[in-house]
Amino acid sequence: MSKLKTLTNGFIKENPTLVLLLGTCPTLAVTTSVQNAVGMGAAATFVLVGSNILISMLKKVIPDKVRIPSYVVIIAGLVTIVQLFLQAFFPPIYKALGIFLPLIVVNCIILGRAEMFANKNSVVDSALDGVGMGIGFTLALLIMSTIREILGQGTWYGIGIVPGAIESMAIFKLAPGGFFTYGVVVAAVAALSKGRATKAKAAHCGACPSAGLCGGAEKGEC
Amino acid sequence: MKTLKELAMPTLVLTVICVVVTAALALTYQFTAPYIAAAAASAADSARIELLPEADSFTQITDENVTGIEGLVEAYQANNGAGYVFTSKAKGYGGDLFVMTGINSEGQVTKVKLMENAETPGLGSRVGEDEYTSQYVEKDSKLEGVEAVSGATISSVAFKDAVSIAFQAYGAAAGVEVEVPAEPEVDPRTEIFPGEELTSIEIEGADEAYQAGSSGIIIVVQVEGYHPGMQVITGIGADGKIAGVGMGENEETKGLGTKVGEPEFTDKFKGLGADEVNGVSAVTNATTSNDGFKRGVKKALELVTQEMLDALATAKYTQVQPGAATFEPFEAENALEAVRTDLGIVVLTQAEGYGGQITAVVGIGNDGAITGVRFLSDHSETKGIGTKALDPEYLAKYVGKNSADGVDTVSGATVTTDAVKRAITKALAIYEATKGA
Repeated sequence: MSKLKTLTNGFIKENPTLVLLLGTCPTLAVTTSVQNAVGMGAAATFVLVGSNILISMLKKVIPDKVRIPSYVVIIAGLVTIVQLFLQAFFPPIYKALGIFLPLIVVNCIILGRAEMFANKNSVVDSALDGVGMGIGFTLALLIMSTIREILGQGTWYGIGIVPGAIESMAIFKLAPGGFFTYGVVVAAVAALSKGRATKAKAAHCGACPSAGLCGGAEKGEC
Repeated sequence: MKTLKELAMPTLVLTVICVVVTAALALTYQFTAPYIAAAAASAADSARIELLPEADSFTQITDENVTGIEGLVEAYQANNGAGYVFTSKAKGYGGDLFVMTGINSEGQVTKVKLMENAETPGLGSRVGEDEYTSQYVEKDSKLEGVEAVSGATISSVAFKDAVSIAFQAYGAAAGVEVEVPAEPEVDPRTEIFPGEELTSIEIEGADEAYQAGSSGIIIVVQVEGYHPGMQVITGIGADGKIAGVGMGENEETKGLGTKVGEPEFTDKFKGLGADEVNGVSAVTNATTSNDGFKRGVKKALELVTQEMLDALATAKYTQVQPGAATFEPFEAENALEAVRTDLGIVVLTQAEGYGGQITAVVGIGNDGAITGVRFLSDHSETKGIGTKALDPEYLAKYVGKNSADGVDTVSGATVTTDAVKRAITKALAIYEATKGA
C-alpha cells in the first residue's frame, strides 16, 4: 500500500464515520455547531495520531494478552493530556465538548485503528493512517455540523450566513435532526461510491474492530 | 522460565505503561494547572467586566462593613481601581430579584443587569430589558430620573432598591458618603380613599376639606400637639364612621411624637364613631401628641353633618348623571342598587374581572344613552394594566352610546375590558326592562 493511499484511505473510501460507521455517538452529539465539530475533530485526530504512533512503536513490546488494556491506558493518557490543554488554552471548546471529550477514550475509531492498523504496520504508516482517519472523521463532522448548524440556526461557524433567509429549524440542533442528517449523509456517501465503499469494508466481519478477538471473524460468523 | 515470562511479562509491561502514562499526565497537569486557574478566573471575571468594562480583574471584598449590608450578595473590587461590581437583591413581585451593578470610581453606574429573578415574564421581567436598565447608566447614588416600567411598578421599585443597596455597599467599600434616593412623600389625604378623586370643598372650621368621590369626606384640621401646628387628617365614610386617619405636617419630636402618625396607631381608628375615639389606646411616651391628635379627629367628626353624608350618597349617582335631583330607589334584578332619577336611571352592576368582582355605577338617560360610567375603587385589577380599562378617560368613550359594543378594547387588559362591557350591558338591560314596565 502506497503512503499516499494509506493517508487518503480514511477520507472517503474507509471514512470511519460515514463508511465504517464508527464513533456515531460523539458524531451525533457534537455536530450541533461547526465550532464544536472542528474542536472535536482536532482533539480526536490528535489522540488518533498519538495513539497510532505509540502503539505502532510498542507493538513488539506489548504482549498480546494485555494488548487491549495497554491501548486503553495509552489512549486515556493522551485524551487526558488533550483535555488539560483544551481546558487551559481553549476553555470555550472544552466547555462545549463537555463529556464527549473524555469519552474519546472509548471512541471506537481510535481503538479500532489501533487494533486494525497500528499494531500491524510501521510507525510512519500508522501515523499517516491516524492523520487520514482523523481528517476523515473531522470531514464527516464538518459535513454534518454544516448541515445542522445552517438549517438549525441559520449560521455557519457562528457567522450568520443566511440571517432571516430561512426559518431556522430547531429540530436540526436536537438529537432527531442529528439522526436525520447522519442517515442522509451516509446514504449520500454510499450512493456516490455506488455502494462499493460500504460493501467492501464495513459489511463483513473482518472490518470489525474486535475481529482479532473473535474466532469467527475469518469465517464470517461473528 | 517460560511460564514466568508468560505470566510476568504482561503484568510488567502493563505496569510500566501505566507508570509512564501517569508520569506524563503529572507533568502535563503541572504545566497546565496555572493556565487552567487563570482561565477559570477570567471566565468569572468576564461577567463582571461586562458591567465595568474598564476593569481588568477583580478581588472579592470580604470586609464585613460591606458584606454585612442587608440585601448585598457579593462585592468585588477592580484590581486596577476602575470601580466596583456588586450583586444585590431586593424583594420583587415574584420573590427575590438579583441585580448586578457596576459602579465606577466616581460613584456612577456603569451598567446594571438583571440576574436571577422570578418576575412575571413579559411584565415584571421587562426591568431586565435595555430600555429600562440603560436609564441607570451614569446615574449617581440618588438615581434621579429613573422611570419605572409601566405596569411593573413593584419589579421596578425592587430593581431600584437593589441598585440602591449596591450604592450603600459602594459607600462602605470606598469610604464615601452616599446620598440615598429621596423617598416619595406619602400624603395621607390620598391614602384614605384610594383611587377616589378628591374635590376641594368648603367646610367651616376645617383648614382643608375634600370630597372623595362618593366614598367620603376628608377633613384636615390643625391642633396643638406637643408642639403647635400638627395637621390631623381624618377621612369619614358615608356611614359617618372613620375610614382612616393620618398625620400631615407637624413639628412633633421625631421618632416619638411622630409615632402618632404611623399606621400602627392610626389603623386603630378605622371604623370608629365619634364616641369611641377616646377609647383608642395611646402611644407610649407620646401622650401630649396623642391627645392633640385625638382632639383633631373628634373635631373633624363634629364638622361633618348628616347633610354632607346624605350628599355623598347622591354624589355616587350624580357623578354618572350630572344634574339629577331626585333619587327614587327601585328593585331591579342583577343590580346591587338601582335608582330612578328625574333624568333617567342609575344602577350598580357587577361583573367578574381579572382579579375578582368589579362594581360599575352606570347612569342611563331617559333616551337610553349612557350618561356616565365609573367603577368603585374596591377592585383587585392589576395596577397599571387592568386598571387602564377602569380609567375615567377610557370610560368616557361609553358616554352617549346605547350599547357597550363599538368601544375599543384596552390593549393588554382584555379581561378587564370584557368585564367592563358586561357590567355596562347588564345596566343597559335593566334600563330596557324598566322601559317595558
